[in-house]
Amino acid sequence: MTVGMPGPLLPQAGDGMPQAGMRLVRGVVTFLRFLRTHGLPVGPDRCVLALRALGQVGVGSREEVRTALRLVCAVDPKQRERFDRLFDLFWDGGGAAAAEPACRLEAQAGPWSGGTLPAAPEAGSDAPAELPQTGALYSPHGVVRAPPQPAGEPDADRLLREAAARLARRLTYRPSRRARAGRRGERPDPRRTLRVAASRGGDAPRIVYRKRRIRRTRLVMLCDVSGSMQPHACLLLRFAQALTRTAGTLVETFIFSTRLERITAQLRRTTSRLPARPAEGPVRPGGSPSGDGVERLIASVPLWGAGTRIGQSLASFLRDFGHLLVPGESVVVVMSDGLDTGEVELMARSMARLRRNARRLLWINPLAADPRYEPLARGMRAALPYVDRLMAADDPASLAALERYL
Amino acid sequence: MAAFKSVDELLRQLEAHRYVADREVATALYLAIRLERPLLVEGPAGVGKTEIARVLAEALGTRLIRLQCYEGLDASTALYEWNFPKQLLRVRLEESGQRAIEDRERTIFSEEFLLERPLLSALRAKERSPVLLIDEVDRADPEFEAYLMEVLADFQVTIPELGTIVARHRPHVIITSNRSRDLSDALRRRCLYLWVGYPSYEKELAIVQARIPDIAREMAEAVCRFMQKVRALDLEKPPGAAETVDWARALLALQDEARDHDPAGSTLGVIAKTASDLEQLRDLVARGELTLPSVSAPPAQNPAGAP
Repeated sequence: MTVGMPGPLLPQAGDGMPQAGMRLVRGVVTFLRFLRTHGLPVGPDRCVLALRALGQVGVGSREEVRTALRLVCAVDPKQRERFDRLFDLFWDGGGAAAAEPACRLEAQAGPWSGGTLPAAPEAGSDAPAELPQTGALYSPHGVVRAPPQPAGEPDADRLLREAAARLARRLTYRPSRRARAGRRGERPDPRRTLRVAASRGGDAPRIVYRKRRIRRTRLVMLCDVSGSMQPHACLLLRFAQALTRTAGTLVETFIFSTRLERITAQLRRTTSRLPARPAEGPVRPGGSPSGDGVERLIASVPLWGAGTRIGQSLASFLRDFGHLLVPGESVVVVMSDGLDTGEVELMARSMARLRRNARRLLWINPLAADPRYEPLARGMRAALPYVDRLMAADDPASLAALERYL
Repeated sequence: MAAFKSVDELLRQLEAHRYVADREVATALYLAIRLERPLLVEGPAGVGKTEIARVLAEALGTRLIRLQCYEGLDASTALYEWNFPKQLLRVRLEESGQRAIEDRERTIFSEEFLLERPLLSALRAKERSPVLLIDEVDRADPEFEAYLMEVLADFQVTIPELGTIVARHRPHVIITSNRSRDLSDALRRRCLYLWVGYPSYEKELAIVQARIPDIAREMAEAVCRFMQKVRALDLEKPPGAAETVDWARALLALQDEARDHDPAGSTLGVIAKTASDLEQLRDLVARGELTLPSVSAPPAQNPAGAP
């Protein structure tokens, strides 16, 4: 019937109609579960939609099936790529994915225990070519490399949270040109006044004024997590987490060393697991309970310890996520010590473009806390002309000062 | 109502309306219609996201209703508004009249005084399902998105003075986004997703020839080859297919002047959208790393005609 699809999951010759149908249904359900284990957020509701879609286009052509399922399951370009790889892997019967699908995939349906799949590869090494790289950064079992030790005391955490809360409030309240109705304001609003009058038989008991509407600023944080930044990145990422918790969709967070990753979604998920009070029970050494989620996140990131290519990471931010800056009301904060191993040209070009597309461009350099610090590193020097403000941020108090520069 | 019986038929219809579609777009539209789900179309600027809605409406022989989203868009601007200056006037005029209050009230809040906005128009289409295009939904705020989801869930709205309005013909909904922010889960769960990227060389060539039937094949090929190279550069705002067609049209129009000066070099502004991009292109051309398509003037016409 169809070329290249594994036997047990497709209708067989000699199947009656009901059996053929059941096989197909099981095949699709298993495939969707396979996708889910590999990081594509495909909920159970998509399953019904997927089956209906196949009902419309039929299963005669592999490409049609691929297109139809992709329309249902993949949400953005990266997911589309991943979907294509997973589709080929699953339906080509490669690896253990398709053999004895019922039991093997049952086992994989649970948390990713690493059965037939490798752990997230080391930065710089090649992932095995035939298995898909999931890119999922957060794993409940943790792919733990030596996590950086210094963790905040509860006091530092509280200071961080307060600083973040103030900052978040600042982000959400910026007067804009757009006007809104209000009792007091600068200019009368004839349209709304008339409307109120209409509801009262034509008399205008009061005049409705225009008030300035509140505009929201978006904050984009790009955090260097390479070896040289290890002691500081923890603090900065916890700050980012606190911000994400208070300001929600207005904050986007990325980490980079040799390449760039977006961790906004992970930070949002991690915050929801934070206990309201410090948890009872054993606390991991070197970690405070409320910071647990962030530390595991940091530990699972395969980017530590590699060299830094700042210019390249910034360029790939602009290329892949530049659309986040489109609204024009973004403040970009780069957190890095400026020790770059890449091309200076690229650094300057990327910084120039960032500057053009953001309302404000700030740079947090932990080295700048030392009063004797001068930006001598090539990378930092190339970037400096484009930066609105260079700041040090080695403790929560200085992070709070960020607010002034929004 | 079976509008199209198969993906192939839809594909043929799209091509008949001068839209160069690949199979994925046709499948997406087909499934969106058959499964009655909105289609969320994302992609860079200028690749034809809005075009898809326009050509679908043409192919279905139905109206295209467009709702352009922006920050601050609210329900009243999108759905309906009462024409209160007119209402006020009528109230004044009727003040001394003899009619009963209920009568007057019914008149004031009747169709005559209702300003229909895109969403309401889409719900109240009389003869057949229109195509409702919700353009750049990411520019509206999340609150509006939530309101939109409510309307799109059941295709009905309640206007306090007029009652509940249920769509007789459910509109085909196409939503576009520039991805400047993450859309809500509710919206994503409801839709099918289509990503339209930059076209390949062959596809772009087909588009240019479909849009500009007069163009010579060599010129179309040269323009498309050039555009593929341009997209491989690291421009701030890479040009889309729309820019390619515009440029080809410009070159065709300036063909007669080609004897005096080269139109290709002076019209680079059509495809470069920022100053630095323009500079970069000019720079590369000057250094010989990019070759402009050559535009030659058409041969002089022989008025006597061929024998």
